[in-house]
Amino acid sequence: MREPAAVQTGQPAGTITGIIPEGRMKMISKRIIPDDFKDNGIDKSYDEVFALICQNIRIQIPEGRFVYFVDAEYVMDTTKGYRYENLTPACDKILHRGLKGLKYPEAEVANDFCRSYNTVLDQLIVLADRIIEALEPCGSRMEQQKFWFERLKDRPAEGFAEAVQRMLFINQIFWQTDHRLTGLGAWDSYLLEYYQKEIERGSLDRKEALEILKDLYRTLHENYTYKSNVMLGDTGQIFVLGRSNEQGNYICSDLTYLFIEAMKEVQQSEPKCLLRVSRNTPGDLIETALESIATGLGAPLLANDDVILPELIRFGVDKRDACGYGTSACWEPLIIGKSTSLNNMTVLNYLKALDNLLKRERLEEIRTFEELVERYLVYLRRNLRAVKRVLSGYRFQYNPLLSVFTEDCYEKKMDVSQGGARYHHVGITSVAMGNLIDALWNIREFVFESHRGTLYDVKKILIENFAGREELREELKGRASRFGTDEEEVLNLVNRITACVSEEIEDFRSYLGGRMKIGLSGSAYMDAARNFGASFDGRRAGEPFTVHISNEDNDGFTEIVSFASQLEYGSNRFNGNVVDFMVSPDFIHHNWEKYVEFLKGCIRKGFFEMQMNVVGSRTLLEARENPDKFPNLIVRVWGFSAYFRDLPEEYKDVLIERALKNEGLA
Amino acid sequence: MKNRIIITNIQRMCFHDGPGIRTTVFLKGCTLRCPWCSNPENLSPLPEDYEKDGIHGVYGREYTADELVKMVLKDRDFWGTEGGVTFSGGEALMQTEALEDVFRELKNRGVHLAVETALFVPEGLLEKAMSYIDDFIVDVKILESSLCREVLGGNLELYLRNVSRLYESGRLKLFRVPCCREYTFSERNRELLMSFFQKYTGIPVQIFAIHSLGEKKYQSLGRAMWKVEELGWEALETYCRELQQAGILAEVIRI
Repeated sequence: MREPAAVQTGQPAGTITGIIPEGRMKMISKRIIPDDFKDNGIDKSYDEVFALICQNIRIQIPEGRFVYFVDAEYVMDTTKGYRYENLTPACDKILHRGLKGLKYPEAEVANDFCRSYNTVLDQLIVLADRIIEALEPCGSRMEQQKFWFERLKDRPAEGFAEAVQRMLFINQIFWQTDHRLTGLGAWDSYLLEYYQKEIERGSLDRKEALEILKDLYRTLHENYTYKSNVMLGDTGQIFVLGRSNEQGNYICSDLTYLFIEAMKEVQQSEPKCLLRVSRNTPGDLIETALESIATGLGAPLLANDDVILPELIRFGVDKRDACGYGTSACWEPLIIGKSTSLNNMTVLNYLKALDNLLKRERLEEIRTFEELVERYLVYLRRNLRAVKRVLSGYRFQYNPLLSVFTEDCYEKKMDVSQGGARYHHVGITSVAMGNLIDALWNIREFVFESHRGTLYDVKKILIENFAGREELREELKGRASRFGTDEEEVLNLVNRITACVSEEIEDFRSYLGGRMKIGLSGSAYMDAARNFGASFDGRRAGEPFTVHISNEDNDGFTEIVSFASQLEYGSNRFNGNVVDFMVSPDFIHHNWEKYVEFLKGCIRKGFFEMQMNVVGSRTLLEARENPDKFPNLIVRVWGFSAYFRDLPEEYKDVLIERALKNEGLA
Repeated sequence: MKNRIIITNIQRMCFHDGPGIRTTVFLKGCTLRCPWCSNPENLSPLPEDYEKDGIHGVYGREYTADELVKMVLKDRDFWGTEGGVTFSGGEALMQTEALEDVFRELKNRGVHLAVETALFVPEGLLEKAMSYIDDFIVDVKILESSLCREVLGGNLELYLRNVSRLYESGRLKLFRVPCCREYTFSERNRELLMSFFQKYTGIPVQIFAIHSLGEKKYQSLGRAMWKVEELGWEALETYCRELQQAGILAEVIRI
C-alpha cells in the first residue's frame, strides 16, 4: 500500500517543483505504475483505480489563487490498449451543477456503466473533501478556496474565479488519469455569464478579471514537463476563443479579448489560444490577436469558420454542434465535449506511394507523366487500404471519467468506448505533400520533357541518395517550390490526389461506426522523414519533409494563402489544414496597419487555418549559439508554441533554414 | 505589337507602392540610364539571357493582356477597399499602348491602379495612361537640364511638363527621390529639389538612399555595377528636416 497521502504546502504558482524531475519523456520509457493498481499482479478495475487515485494523490496547496496539482507518481496506467487522448472534455458541465448533481439517481442506475459513472463522481467528491481538509490549516488565506470546493460538491458555481477553479479541478483530474493532450475548450463562452454577473454586481472589474486569467495561464503552465507529450511544449492545452453562431453572426465578448491579452502579458509558451475568425470578426479583435502573435508567441492560431463550418456540416455534423468546434491539440477540428474522435490516429506519408512505385513498378511501361500520376494513385490507394485495415481493428479503453464529461453518454447510459459520444470519427494526418508535388514536377521535366534520364535513372539516383549527382541534387533543390504556388496545374494535381484519398477512405468505419477524415497538416514532418530515403525534390535521405502548407520560395504570403484557399477540403479532407509561414517581427511592426488588412484579406480569401512564426533568422541563429541568452524565446512548432531552447537541434535547424529563406538570405 | 507586354516580375503583397496592399508589375524597358539603377534587368525593352549561380534564365516574359489580368487578379481578395495594382519598372508608361487593355479591364472591375514612373515619356503616353490610372508615384532625380541629359539621358523639359500636367490633374500622389551623393544629393541638386517641391505643395516626398542590392543582378547579366557609396541615415534625416521646415511633407524611407 501507498504511504498515507502527504500534504505539501507553499507550492508557488508557476514552478514545476513537485513534479517528476526527469520529465515526461523519461517517464514514458520508465513508466512508474503504483503497486496499488494491481492485485496479485492483475490489474484492478477502472473504478478501483480511479478511487485509489482520488484517495491517495498528494495534495499540493499553492500560494497562488487556484488549487491545481498533478501527482506524477500516481498516474493511471493507460498503456494497455488504445487510449483516449487529444480530446477536449466538456469541463463546463461542472458549472451549472455540482458533482452530486451530475450523478444518476439510484433508480436510474441500469448497468455497470451507470455504476462506474456514479463511482467517478463519488470519488471526485472524496477528492474535493480531501482538498478542503488540506486547506484547513491555511486559515483565512484559503477561506475562499475552501468555500469553492464545498460548493463544488452539490451547488452551481456563483462567481467568475470560482467557475475557473471548478474547470481547473476537472482539468487536473484528466491529467491525473493520463489523458494526454487534454484540450481546454471555449472558456470565453463558458465563463461569460459569471463575468457579466460579477461586472454588473460590481464585485469584479476588467482589470481584476485580467489578473485572474493571468493566474489561470500560470497555473496551467505548471507541470509543463509532465504534460508535454513527445516534445516539450506539446501539451494540447488550447483555449478556443470566438465563434460563429448558427445564423452566421460572429460571437465574441470582452472575455475573448481578455483571454488573448492575458496570454500576451504572461508570455509563456503555453497554454495557448486558437481564435476562430470569420468575415464578420471585428477588426479590433484581429488586431488584438496580431498584437499577441507579433510578440513571437505564435498564438493565437487562426481558424476560419467560413471554411471549416460548412465542411463539418456537409460531413454530417449537426449545425449547432459544428458551431461548437475546437481542435485536437493542434489543428484537427473536433466537436468539443461531444466528440471522442481521435484525430491523430496515424500519419499518411504522401511520398511513400511514389517510393513504392519506383521500387515495384515496371517503369519502362510508364510512358507519360499522366501515366505516372495514374500509377501513383494506385499505390496511394494500396497504402490507404493498409491504414484502414489497421485502424478498423482498434478498440478503445473503458473510460467513465471521459464519459461523465462527454455529452450523450449520460442519456445513452453508455461509455465512450461503447459509442456513448455523439461523434466518434477517426482522423489521420499527413506529411510530405509538398515534397511529393515538387518531386513529381522534377520527374516530369527530367524524364518526360527534357529526356535527361529515365524513371530507372530516377530510381537509381534516389536509392544511391544522389551519390555522385550532387550537382543534379542542388539543381532540383534550388528550383522554386511548386507546392504552395497558386498555379492552376499545381492546384489541380494536389486536389486530384486528395480527392483520390478522400474517395478511398470514404467507406471506412470504425468499430463504433465512425468515419475517417484526413488533413494536410501533420506533426511528423521530421519523425516520418528520419528513416525515409531521398526524394526527387532534392531532399537527401533522412532530411525533414516540408512543413504543413508552406512555401518559403513564394514572393509574398498572399500566394500561399491563395493556394491554400483553393484547395478542396470537402467530403472528409478537413482534418486540419494549416498554412504556416515565418515572418520577421520588423516586417509586422513596420507595416502594422497593412498587415492587419492582410489578415482580413486572408480570411476573405478563405484559408482553413493559419499560424505564424514571428521571429527573425538573426535571433534564431544567436539563440542556437547562446541558448542562455534567450531562455524565453518562444517559437511555433507543429501546432503549439514551445521554448526554442527546449527543441531538439534538428527542429531548430528547420526553423532557421525557413527563416533565412523567407528573408531572402538563403 | 499592341498586346506584347514584357514583364520581369509580378510582386505580390507589396506594402510600399501605393495605398493598401498591392500587386506590383515590373515592366521591362526604361527611357533613362541612371548610373545607380538597382534594376538593370529592366533597362532593355527586350528579353535578356542571364546566368546566376550556374543556372541560365531569361529576364523578361511576354504576357498577353488576358494573362496579365488573370495573374494580378489572384490577389484581389487581399486588396480590400484601398489596395490594387501598381505598374513599375523600368519605365512602366513606355508600355502604355500594350497595357491599355489591361488598364481598361482592371478599371472596369473597379481595381485601384497606380503607376510608379520616372515620367520621362512622351506626353501622349501619359495622357493615355491618365484616363485609367488613379495614382501616380513620380521619381525626382537630377533637376539640372544639361546634367540630366548627360548622366541620365533624359529631357528635363519634357519631364517638367509632364509633372505639371499630372499635378493639375490631381493624380500626382507622391514624389520619390533616390539619393545619391554625386548627383541627386549634390548641394546644387538639393537646392533645386527644394524649390521644385515648394512649387508642388501638398504632395508628400519620400527620400531614400540608393543601395547596392542590385549587384547580383548586374553580375548575372555580366555587367559591372556602378560603385555605390551609400548615404548615411543621418544625412538623409538632416535633409528631410530641412524639407520639413520649408513646409514640405517629407519622410525618409528604407527600401
